[in-house]
Amino acid sequence: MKVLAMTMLLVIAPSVLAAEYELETVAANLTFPWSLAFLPDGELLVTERPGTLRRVSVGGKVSEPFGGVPQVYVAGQGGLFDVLLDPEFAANQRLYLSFAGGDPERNATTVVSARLIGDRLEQVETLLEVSPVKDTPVHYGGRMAFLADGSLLLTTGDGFDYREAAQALASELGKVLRVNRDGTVPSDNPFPKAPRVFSFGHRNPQGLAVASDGTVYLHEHGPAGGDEINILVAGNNYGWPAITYGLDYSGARVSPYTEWQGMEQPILHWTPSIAPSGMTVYEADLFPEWQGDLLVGALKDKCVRRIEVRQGAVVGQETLFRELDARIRDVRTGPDGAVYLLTDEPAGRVIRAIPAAGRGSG
Amino acid sequence: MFWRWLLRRAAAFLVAALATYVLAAIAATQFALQRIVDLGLPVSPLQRATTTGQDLLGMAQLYLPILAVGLAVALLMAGLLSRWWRAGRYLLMIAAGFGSVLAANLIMNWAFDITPIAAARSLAGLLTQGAAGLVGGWLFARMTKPPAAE
Repeated sequence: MKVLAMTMLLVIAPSVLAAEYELETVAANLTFPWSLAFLPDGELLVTERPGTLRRVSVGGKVSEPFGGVPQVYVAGQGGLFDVLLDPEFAANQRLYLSFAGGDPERNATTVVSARLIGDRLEQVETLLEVSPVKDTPVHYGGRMAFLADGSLLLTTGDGFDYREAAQALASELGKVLRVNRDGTVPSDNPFPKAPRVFSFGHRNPQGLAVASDGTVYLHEHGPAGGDEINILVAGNNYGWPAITYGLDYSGARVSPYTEWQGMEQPILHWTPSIAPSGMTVYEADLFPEWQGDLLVGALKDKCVRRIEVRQGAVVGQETLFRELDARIRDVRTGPDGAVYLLTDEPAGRVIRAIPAAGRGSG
Repeated sequence: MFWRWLLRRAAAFLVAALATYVLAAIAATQFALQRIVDLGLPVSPLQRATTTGQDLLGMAQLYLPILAVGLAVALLMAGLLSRWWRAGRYLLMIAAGFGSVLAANLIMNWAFDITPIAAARSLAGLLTQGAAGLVGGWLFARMTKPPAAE
């Protein structure tokens, strides 16, 4: 009887969880949307990987592509990536775009800053171009976030064929870079001989979020298995490819080691891979039971993982929004406290998760 | 008579394909481990043996069938050509084995825009993979040597 009751509980549990929120489609027919930002007037900016930046009005109307967006290299995983508003956007209208620049033989993750004037970018300035350039159209990283001091973090990938470069400080592949908003190097970066490097030993980080207490969370794709969530600290080595929980796509071991002194362990790793993409630290009020949790999108696993982190350790994990049956490219907390999702599709959507009507909490 | 001829070739091909795969996988592991050593982490003989064994099992699902298909096509072509150039039979099959593994890797690199077999990122690694096919081709030629030539 007890077993029957437990079984019934497990069967109905997903519908109970699903009933706690509602999913609304804010906008549709976006071509492989990659990232979004919330404008002060309630509108959204959305990047599309083929190289376009659009505005989504409060009513869900999608604008024409903005003018002034730099030419991006669209191939493989390359294209237009993140959009981030300047902390003083209301005063200076500046924003930051990351993208794959270059051509098949010489391409690199690049960051520009620009002023948003209407539906056009003006005063576009290149802030950063990852060095060295590479000749593979994959593993760009490309997520950005601001630290509390106003400096900018950018994740970079290892370019796949250059994985050992992630351990070489002379290369900016497989790193998190930190620059000031004008592209200069902060004086307190950890490696004098690698001035822009903040942390190293990364494979292809696709999620970066800074909590209000200053904790920086990063997640990165492993190969076959070994996706990781890490707490980022300046100067740390996160191990790729010397240590990893993943196998190469060929089925071969990348390394015999999963840990080594001086190399950081993830707070969570996934095998098999979920292909994490996008992340937010949920610190709003609409879903009080998610307070302080990480919400991580998943491309391969087609869901959002809610990760409970307490004192730097993962204490729980829940799968959300599985009913969308869509690859999730980005997850954000809106200024209204709702959770915003981007689906990775040729006709991608902006989805908003809000508490279900009549729900007791939130 | 025909069935005996066919079985002999099938057995020879099986041996050739397995030898090619085993040698290619072993070589791939050693190249990958050398990169780890280059990063400053030691690899003991036991770790080397364990990792090699794991890779032999792990790579079998994808790399073995790819190599086998490539080898089959190449050996078939070499067999046809050897009808016109009997003296060059060994050379043709050795070249077929070498070329098939090289071609399999280059086609994968082209199709995926990356290098799926990490060892093949360097020319030395790629040629070593090809050398595994060379041995496979030689084995096939030896095991299917026509009686008249014996």
